[in-house]
Amino acid sequence: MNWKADTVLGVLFTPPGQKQPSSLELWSELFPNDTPDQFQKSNPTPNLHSNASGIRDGFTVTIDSQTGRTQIVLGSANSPMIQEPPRIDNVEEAIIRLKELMSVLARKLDTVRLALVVDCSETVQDSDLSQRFRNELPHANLPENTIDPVYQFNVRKPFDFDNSVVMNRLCTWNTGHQGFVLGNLPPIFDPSQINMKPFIGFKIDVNSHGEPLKIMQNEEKILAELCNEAIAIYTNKIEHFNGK
Amino acid sequence: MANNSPDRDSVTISRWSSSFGNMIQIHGRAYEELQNSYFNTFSSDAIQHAKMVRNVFSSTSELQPLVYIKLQVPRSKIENSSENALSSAAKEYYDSISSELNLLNDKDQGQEVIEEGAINTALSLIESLKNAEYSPPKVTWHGGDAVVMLWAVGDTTYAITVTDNELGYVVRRNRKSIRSNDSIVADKFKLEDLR
Repeated sequence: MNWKADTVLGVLFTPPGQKQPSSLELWSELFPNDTPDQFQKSNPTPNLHSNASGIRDGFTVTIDSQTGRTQIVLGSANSPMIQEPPRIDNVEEAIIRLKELMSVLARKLDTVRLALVVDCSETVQDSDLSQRFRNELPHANLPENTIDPVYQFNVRKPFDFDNSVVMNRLCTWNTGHQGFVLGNLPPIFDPSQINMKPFIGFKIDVNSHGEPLKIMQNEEKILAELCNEAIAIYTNKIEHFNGK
Repeated sequence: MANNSPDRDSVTISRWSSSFGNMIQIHGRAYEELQNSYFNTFSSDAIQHAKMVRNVFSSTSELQPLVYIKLQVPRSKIENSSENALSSAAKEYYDSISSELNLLNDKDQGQEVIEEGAINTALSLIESLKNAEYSPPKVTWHGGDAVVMLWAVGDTTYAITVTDNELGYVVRRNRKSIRSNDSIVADKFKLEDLR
């Protein structure tokens, strides 16, 4: 089965105590001579969070900036359907585009850790949920009619460029419900206008772990390996880890 | 919360994970309602349109935009997940700040650069910041009785001044103070409730 992604997320951790740019400044790095469709800034806590977003290059792009952490989130810019949320069809393309955007910000920021997260899901029928989960993970040996299953692990491996820096490869399969909520004033939420459907989720979180200075000096190599690994796991799923 | 005017025909939701669980940021009217709702996890970054609602629902009442939500079976928080707000470097930095503050009050070495009460209050705040997974501040001290913690993003700075059992904070943008408070008793000080 080909998973579609709710979001593809890139995280750049910056060194403690460093002054960093706001999301508006980072947006102009990614999209020169452009301004975001929306920009929001809130300063009530030391996080000094801001975000900038807009639809660019066929994706909904959101940049979050807060002390110590910068995120780029790509979502689908497709017209949403009623039956399920808008999802990214071509996940590989999104991962590659995200890597390109992260490279631009990595050159701007000193990063001590990098992460690439692919959050996939598929809307299913209630009656199919358990079986779909079992099909996805045949080796997990889950009992029939299992409800609320979660399966997760982390398999570390060294980066090719330097084996003292390791890559965390976290994978999670889980289930839940998602769907529309119709906000209608008043009342605030009318439960009859909530249209929820079950889903099965598959999340890939590949990130770097190691000496901050080595990561800072090898951002491009790390991003390239994270990108390749995320695509490989996305493509081969659980089979990717058999013998690798 | 929003600085820009809400667009009545669209709602944008973003989720970012942090120490506070899943935080929500929404443009539009739905913010207050969603903030207080029982939904604990939101799908990220979808733009929906009221036009869709009208196509689906026949209600003639005033319609607000749709949002997608995602209610998941909770995943265990894994140590090396990118959802952890702090990097290991940040955790080490917190430890170094605590060590440095303790050294400022090392009576065995005959050294008391800062009043003991201010140091203890600062150490307590540092612990709270670390537990809440805030990125660590730059820490300085002055006058023998105050520790200053500073964060900066873009043109905005956030500074907390700590003295013996009292704290004050100031948020400055473009060198202008936009929010501040002073002489707050330490146990009344709330990091997430400063407005």
